[in-house]
Formats: sequence, C-alpha cells, structure tokens
Amino acid sequence: MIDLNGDKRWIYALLLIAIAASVYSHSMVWKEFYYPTFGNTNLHVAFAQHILTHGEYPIQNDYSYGGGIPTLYVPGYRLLLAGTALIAGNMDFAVRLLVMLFAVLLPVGFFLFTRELFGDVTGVAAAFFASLPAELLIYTVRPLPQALGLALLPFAFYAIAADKRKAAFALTIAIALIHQETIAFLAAGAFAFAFLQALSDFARTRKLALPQGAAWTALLCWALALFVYVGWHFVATGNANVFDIAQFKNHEGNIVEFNLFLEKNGMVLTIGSLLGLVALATRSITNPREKELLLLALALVGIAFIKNDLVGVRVFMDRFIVFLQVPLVVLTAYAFTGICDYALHFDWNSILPRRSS
Amino acid sequence: MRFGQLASIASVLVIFAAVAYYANQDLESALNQAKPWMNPVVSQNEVAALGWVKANTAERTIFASDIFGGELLMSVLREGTEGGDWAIVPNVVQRMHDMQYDFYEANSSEQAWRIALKYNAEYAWVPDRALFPGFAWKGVNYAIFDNSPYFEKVFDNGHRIYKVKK
Repeated sequence: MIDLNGDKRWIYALLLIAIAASVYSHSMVWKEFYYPTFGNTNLHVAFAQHILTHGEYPIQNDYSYGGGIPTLYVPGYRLLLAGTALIAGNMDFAVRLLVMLFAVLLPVGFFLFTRELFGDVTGVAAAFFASLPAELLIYTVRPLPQALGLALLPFAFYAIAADKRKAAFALTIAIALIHQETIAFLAAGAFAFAFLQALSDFARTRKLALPQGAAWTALLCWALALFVYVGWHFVATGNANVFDIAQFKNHEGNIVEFNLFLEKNGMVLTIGSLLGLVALATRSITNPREKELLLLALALVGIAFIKNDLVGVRVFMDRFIVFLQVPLVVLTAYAFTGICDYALHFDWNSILPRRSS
Repeated sequence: MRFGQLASIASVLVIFAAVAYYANQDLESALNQAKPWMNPVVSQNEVAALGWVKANTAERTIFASDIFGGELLMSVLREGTEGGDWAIVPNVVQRMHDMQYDFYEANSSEQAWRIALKYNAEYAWVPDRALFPGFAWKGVNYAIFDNSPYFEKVFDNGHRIYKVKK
C-alpha cells in the first residue's frame, strides 16, 4: 500500500495535481478578448498605470467618479500590478498573469495551513478542496486585490498557527495594505483565537493571563493589522473613522440564506465542513488544542461576519462567504481524512456473524 | 487478503467515490458560476476607441460615462463621471441617479447636456452595448446625442464619442 505519511514524494505529487486543478479552473481568465471588468478591476489598472507613467502613487487624487478625492484603497496590489506590468511589458498580460499566481498560491497556502494543524494527508486534501467552492473561484479568478488577499490569507494563518512570528507579522502588514475586508477577517480571526485560547487557559488554570505562543502571535497580528490599516486610512483621508464609507452608509451586501450558502459552497464543503466543525468543537470542549482553536475561531468569526445582519450591521454579508470558506475548506479536509481513517481502522471483522463453537 | 483488509480498502474507495461524485458536481457548478464574471462587459469597439482617447485628450479628461465605460477610461488615465471605488465619493448615489435617469435616459438633449456640465465632462461616452449607470441596465438612446446643438460627434466606430459643447 502507498504510505502517504511516510513518503513525502506522494504528498508533493498530489499537491502538484491540486495546483494543476486550480490553474485549470482559473485558466478561464484567458478566454475573453479583454480581462474581467467586474469588481473595479480597471481602477487598480489605472493606479498601476499611473505609477508606471508618473513614478508616484496618486494618494490625493483617485480616478473614481470624476476624480478629485483622496484614494481610500490600500496600495499593495496596485504596486504589485505595476511591477508585474513593468516586467511583463504589457498590462493586459500582467493582469491575467497575476490570476495565475493566485491559482498557484491558493492550494499551496491551504496545504501549509492545514498540514500545520492536521498533518500532510489532510493538508493535501485541503489543497484539492480549495478548488471546489464557487465563491473562492469567483473572487480569485478576477484580477483584484481581494484575490491576492485571499491567496495570502492561508499563508498568514499558517504562520500564526506555526508561531512563525516574523512571517505572521510580514503577512499581516502585506494583507493590511492589499485588501480591507481580508485584513478585517484576519484581524477578527486572530483576536477570536487569542480570546478562545485565553478562555481555555482560564478554564484549565483558573487564572487570568495573556495567551502564550501562537495565540500571543495572533494577538500581536490583530494589533498590527489595526495599526497599519487605521494608519493608512488616516494618511489617506485625514481621519481615523474607518466606518465612514458609502458601503456602510448604504448597507451594501445581501442577506445570506441557506440556499445561497449551499450555492456558493457546494455540497462537499457544506456537509464536510459541518461534520468537521462538530468533530472539532466536540474535541475542543473536552481537550482543546491550541492550533485547532485557531480553526474554530476562524469558523466562528466567518459565521458571525456572514450573519452580521442579525446584530444590525448589515454590511457585506454575502461578500464574507468567501472568507468563511478558508476555515470551511480546512474543516472539510479534516472531516474527509477523519472518516477515511475511521473506515481504514474500523474492525470490520466485528460485523461478521460469529461462528458457533 | 483477509476480509477486514478488503473491507477497509472497499470502504475508503466508497468514500472517495462519493466525495468525487459530489466534488465533480460542485466543481462544475463553481465553473458555471464563475464564467459570467469573466464577461468584460465593454465592447471590442469601445476598447479600440481608447486609441482615439489617448491621441486626442489629455490625462484626467472627464467623460460622461456609465460605470464600466468610466473604468475602461481609467485604464488609460482618463476619468469617467462614474466607475471606480464609491467608498468616499460625496453624493455618490445622487451622481448615479443623475447619470442613469438624467443623462443616458434623459428626456431631452439639453437635460443630458446639463448633467454633463454638472460633472465637468468634456466628452460623452456612448458605447455599442448595454449601459449600467448604477441603477439598471439600459440600451443606448442615440437620439439624445445625434443632431443635437449640445453634443458633437467626434468618433464613431460603432462605439461613439461626443464632445460636450460649452
């Protein structure tokens, strides 16, 4: 039999197949005469083009709606696009090339994050499951900052779970400067993880204390995310009120009902992640393990974000489904390998009728 | 091979088959849901018109446009009256309303002209495709712009550009 846990070559071979599957599904970005335009893709092209033409970032004069206003959007993706276009020599090619980068990063990031929590086999299963959810594909097959943020998010959670503090800080800063909603999810997830870990420590020791290890790294990432993003907002607009934007005032977003949830996640992710979440929550109540608390925290934050209408926020509910999919993919892989493991080690002889003596 | 081993392998194969069956359906659904988002919306003639724009207008020139037209113009460092990030744009919903109902769906050429002037537009962007100024998709009403004392056609390859007369 193939020993997946012992022989890493099988793991990497399967990971390569998962990357190929992701590249295949994202390859639709090459099929039209012009790159996708839904989601303000050309606004980011404009900034990249401006950087290349004038060698500056037009922070006080956005191109949106007739210009003349400061740009609120963080500059990370636009700088990357400008650099890619400079090297590629063609903006259209650069835009689509970045989508291919996202296609490669996604399975690798999910593999690393999941492997850190549950080992190689579950990691490689997550790399495959990352290609299934519609929403994750819709948001990463278009050349958008959100796609880059989503592609980096599993790497950031991997760095936090592995307590690789420098990498976690670097990724937090990068994501804060790439996409607002992504950093909101990262910051909320990191904070929830630190909170759950502190709660778990309190239940065990009956003493209040700051979290240690990965949870402490997560708390620092939360603080760093706040500092960098609010700092950017202040530099761009002259105030620190990050909620004073049209999306909040006009309550952009749709309510997430079960049918929409199923449509955007698919059958495998919906059922698999539910099984994984129940198994993980049950285990975490009796025997909480730090890294698994991170996954639990991300799932809880994701659910809270897509149902924020219940507490009166009513902003971006459906747009947060894609962020919830990060823990859902990992939970599905956890459930899948758990069920396979159970089936492999089940004593099937016990179901045979016993011989009469 | 003993029964226990056979049953173990068979059960895992059954799990793989079931997951693969539904995963295939999910992947198909994901691809089908993603495909419409690949639609560039803008027309080939519209993209070709950018050549005229670059040759005949200065950077940051404002065009009265719908959202997709405005964003296309940004890619060559011009501006549309609409398109881009609406997060901190003052009176942005009013602007969308103006462009939808009083410009592209105006009752008269003069009404459209006044809106173009209100937003400092030097040109009108009139594509050969459905328009989306913020509230609804609509076809182009060329009667607003043609033979008008307020607009002068300066480019036409199917997609049209009109100069807004001062």
